Amino acid sequence: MKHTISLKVNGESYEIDVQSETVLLDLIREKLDLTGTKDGCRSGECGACTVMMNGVPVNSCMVLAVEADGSEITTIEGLSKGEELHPIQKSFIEKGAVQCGYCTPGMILSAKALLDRNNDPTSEEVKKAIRGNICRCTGYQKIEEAIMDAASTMRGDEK
Amino acid sequence: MSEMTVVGKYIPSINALSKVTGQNKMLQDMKMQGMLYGKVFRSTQVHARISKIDVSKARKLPGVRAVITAADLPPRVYCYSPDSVDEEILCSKKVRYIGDEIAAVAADSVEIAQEALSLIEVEYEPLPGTFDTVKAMESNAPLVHEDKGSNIVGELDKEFGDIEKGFAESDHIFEDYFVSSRQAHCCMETRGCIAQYAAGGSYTVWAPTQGPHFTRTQLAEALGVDKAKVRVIDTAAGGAFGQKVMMDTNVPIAAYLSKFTGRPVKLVNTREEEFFNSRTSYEFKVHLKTGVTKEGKILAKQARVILDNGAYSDQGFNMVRFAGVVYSVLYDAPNVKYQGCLVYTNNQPSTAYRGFGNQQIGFAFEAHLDQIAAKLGLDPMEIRLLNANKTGYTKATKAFINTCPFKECIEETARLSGWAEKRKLYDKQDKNKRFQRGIGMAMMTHTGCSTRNGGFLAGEAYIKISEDGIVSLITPIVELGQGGTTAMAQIVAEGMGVKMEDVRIINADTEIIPFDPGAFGSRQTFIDGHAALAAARDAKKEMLSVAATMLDCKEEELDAADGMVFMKNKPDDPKVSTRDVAKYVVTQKGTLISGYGLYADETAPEGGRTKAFATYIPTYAFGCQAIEVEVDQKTGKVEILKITAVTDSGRTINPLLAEGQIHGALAQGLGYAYTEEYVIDEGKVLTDSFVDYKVPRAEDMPEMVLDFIESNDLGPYGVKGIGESGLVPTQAALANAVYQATGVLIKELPVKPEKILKELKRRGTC
Amino acid sequence: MNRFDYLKPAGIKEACTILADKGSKAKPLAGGTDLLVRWRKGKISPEYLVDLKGLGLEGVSVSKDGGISIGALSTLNSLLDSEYICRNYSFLTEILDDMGSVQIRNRATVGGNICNASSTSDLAPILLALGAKAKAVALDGERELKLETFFLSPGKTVLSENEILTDIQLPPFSKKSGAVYLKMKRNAMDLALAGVAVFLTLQDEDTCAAAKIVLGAVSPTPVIVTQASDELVGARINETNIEKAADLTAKAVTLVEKEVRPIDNVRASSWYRQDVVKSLTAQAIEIAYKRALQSIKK
Repeated sequence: MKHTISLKVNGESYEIDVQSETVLLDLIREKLDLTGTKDGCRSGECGACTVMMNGVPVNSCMVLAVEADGSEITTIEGLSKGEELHPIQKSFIEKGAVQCGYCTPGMILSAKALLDRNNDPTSEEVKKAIRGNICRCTGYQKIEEAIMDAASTMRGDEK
Repeated sequence: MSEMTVVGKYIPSINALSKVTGQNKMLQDMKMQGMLYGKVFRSTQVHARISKIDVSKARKLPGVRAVITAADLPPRVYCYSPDSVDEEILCSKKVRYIGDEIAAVAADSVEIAQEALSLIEVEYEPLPGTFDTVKAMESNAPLVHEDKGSNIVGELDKEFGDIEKGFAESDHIFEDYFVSSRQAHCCMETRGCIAQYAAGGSYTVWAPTQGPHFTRTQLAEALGVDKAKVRVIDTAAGGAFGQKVMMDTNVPIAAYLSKFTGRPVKLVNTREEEFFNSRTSYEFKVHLKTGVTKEGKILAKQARVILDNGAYSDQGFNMVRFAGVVYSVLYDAPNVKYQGCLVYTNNQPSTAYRGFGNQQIGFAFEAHLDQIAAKLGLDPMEIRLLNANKTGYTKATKAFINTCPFKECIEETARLSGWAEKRKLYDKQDKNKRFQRGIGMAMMTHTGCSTRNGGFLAGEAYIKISEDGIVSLITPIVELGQGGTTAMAQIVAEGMGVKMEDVRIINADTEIIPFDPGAFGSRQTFIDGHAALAAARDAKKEMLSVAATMLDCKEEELDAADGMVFMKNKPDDPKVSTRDVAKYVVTQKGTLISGYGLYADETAPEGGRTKAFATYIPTYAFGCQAIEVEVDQKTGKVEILKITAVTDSGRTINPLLAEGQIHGALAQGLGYAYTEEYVIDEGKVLTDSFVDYKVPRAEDMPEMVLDFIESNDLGPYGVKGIGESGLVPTQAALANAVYQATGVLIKELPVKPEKILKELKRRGTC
Repeated sequence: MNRFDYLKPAGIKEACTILADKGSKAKPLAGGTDLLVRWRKGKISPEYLVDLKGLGLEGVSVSKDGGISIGALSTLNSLLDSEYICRNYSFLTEILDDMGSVQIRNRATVGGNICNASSTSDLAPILLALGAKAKAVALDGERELKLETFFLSPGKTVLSENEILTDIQLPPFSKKSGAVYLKMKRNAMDLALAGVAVFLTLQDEDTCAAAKIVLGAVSPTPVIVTQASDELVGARINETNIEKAADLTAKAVTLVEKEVRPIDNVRASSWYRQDVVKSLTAQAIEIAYKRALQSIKK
């Protein structure tokens, strides 16, 4: 059955028809053509489809689009302000945290969720915060370094 | 060599910006006008004759544009390897594993295609299956391919020196048996493609692949069309790790669906399909027999390996050979015998995996070697050093080792891991305690740049320079996230003396790029890097010649670095920018400059023709790892405390990316060693999701300490390939560490807690 | 994957009406983190999903006696944020913090976890150990039931199709008590291969007044091992007879095993689960004891 929902994605308002079975992931990728959010496993295990929903990270493959009615969604495309990258994005580039890039958008959003709550995390907290995101390329080391580096930038530490 | 400005520096990947912003388009992100969505109907039977296929209901479903079965295609059997032609695009008479392709649908949406699959009716006459390679070799085993007369795909038997004499002269002979199980690649992007048929009989395919030219060749072969009719455009892959060396079996299906509908067709695996259908690494059964002197010197070594080919042939025979070569070369023994056998089963077909069989045989031999050391009362490091390779020809196989930092790799690993102290400390620990620690080591050799297999080991590159000084390298480099394009840009920037940000990489399209097999065998930075460097130097020569005119001096007096041309005797006083030189060429001289580079291994044709063994590797790379663990003897659980990895990189072009390669390989290596258990029960894959197939998460990774040994080899700037080597010693290093901790050696991967506990119980240790 | 219709009732009563009306065709939808996976795999084929979110079933309230009532639709992460839980039921915070991933915990709910009646639930054993109660509502009224009687078999609870779990109620956590849940898993993000919750209360510094041991993932539903638990009561617990308690537990597991199907799958063999649960139990008793001691000292 069709439902008309309204939601905000990266600050833009949408009113859109979705089927009951449509998941948020497909709404974002197929209807809104925001393909930065990746489709990895459709079972909530890999985190490639992570988006922020009302300020917290969720697997968009595990949310029905209709459940997102009235919500505010941030995808990777909504992270940078115009030309200016978010510190996490910058650190991911500089610290070599990006290889194939498939996990990257989800990983960055998980990192953001952590740093929004805790801008001075321990290494264990960082590891735990990205538990739900599989990376098969990097062995996570450089991702952790990037998140630590971004945290430092966000705290305003001198480098 | 004068100091370099770009090579050897920590430089971020040139593709990272588009990836962190979500702008990077991968295959799954691509849509085309009029595009249809494909789905494949797959066998639910392990082995069966197809008695009926009825697709009539599926064809009637609104939104379905084509349903195809073997009856719609010209009869044709193809194979990736011409030695064992055995595969059909869609099965006509028989299915040979769960997942075998029977029919395919193209529809307006994935959902409709999926629904259409549920309307397809197939009836089977089940046949007995064969799943274990040893049983499959028996004369009464069910035949996977009746026309072959046997389940043995191929055998290799090599002997160097006199193996029996070697054993006769040995003081001790050790025999052992290991099983290196399958590993799933688990690329985060599942396999997929878009195929577009065009009037006139041509096909264009967009797909993530490790070798666009290989895919092109294979697709032409599968379809039975002239290669000239096929164009492949590589879409930068979301992980590959060997899985994408060979063409995805979806590609010819999508090609036919496009031909029947006249529209582009996209066909993408679900994660579940990825687990049971997109192929895994080969399972190895390894029998070892090694003769040593009482001091521990290896006099004779013999291996017999059996590989599970699965239902269809892929890279198996190449792997039988490669595994034998690295086994034969790693420790220089005067007498070596190697027998390899590749066997059909009704399991999912196997394919290449980063390391290409080296980790499978390496796990066995390196664990075996520690057992020998233990029996002789030697330190594992000592026995390895005693049998270490040296530069020059190996005794038995006559392989030529060009640069050999064997000793340096071990010694640096020992230093960084605290080997000597830890080993002693853990030997003396109170064995009654619940938690026991251990440290283990393993060594490896791997090719530093692929092989001369097939008689071809070459690469080509072109440079064009636009009027604004932007330098474009046309190269077959494949970007898989490993950073191949960044390395090429660095080599060009360094070689030409231009700025890194002025270099562009043009790759991926078989209509544009030079012929090249692809990104595998740790070959591209070496081979295509050579070609890129040659092209850069060629272009630089032209550029300096023009600059000499501009500056009114001799070409020989000039050099360029980081975008500026300067007099060699006054490097701190740049005269003109490379961009200005490019502009001058166009506006003042009315011409253009460019560069061309070729690298061709001269002995390749001969090596390819004679199907040489160890001599088919142009240069060998080495590496050593040590792993420190703590084992809970109550549960068998292993905490991996630290891993030290020392890698022979020849020269590290980009430490940032090189470290990333090793870190990532270590994660895969540890996964394979400890948690990644790929369970197939009578042909059915039971681990078909991330819930049950456990790849490492961030918390599972230990402290990683890395170093690179720069042996300065034959590659551009001295490079050797490092794409694969990082995961080769990992399994044995872990198994050996657990052995020191508990006295238990697990001989079948993965070394999981349950196996350790069972063995501890059996021995009454806990 | 069948097609379904999504229904969003405006209140609990409407939700009950829909569920009563649609019967087995409808499934209540909480966080969806388990339900959607099973739907995709074709294990369930609901015609209707009835969303229970936003009906006021979220949140934690503190009862007069210091116990708490957890709204069934509270997400796991919302409980992690509860200061009261963190202060008074810190062991629960510890468990929640190690469940799934951040993304999963932002959707998964306590009620969903309990109603799935999965043998591998990390919450069920500890809630059973604490003596939690469940509150459910249907058109014909409310009822309160002991969690002990709640689980029937994997995926099956005593709730009828038209009943909605509204709350999980926990008794106050005594100052003399200690509780812990330990599990064995293959890597950082995994279902429990074996789990054990221990809750014990001390009389004096080393005499156990009450104890409850609950095992998870070693049988189709969590098992309260009464025999072993009773062995602990009155026992003076110290380093030496902790092992003894574990042996008693193991015995109990063997007894239980005869009546139920042991779990033997690709994740672990039944042998391993059984064996490991013994050492986990020993460890858990030790920790629970130490925690109880600590809280007395405070």
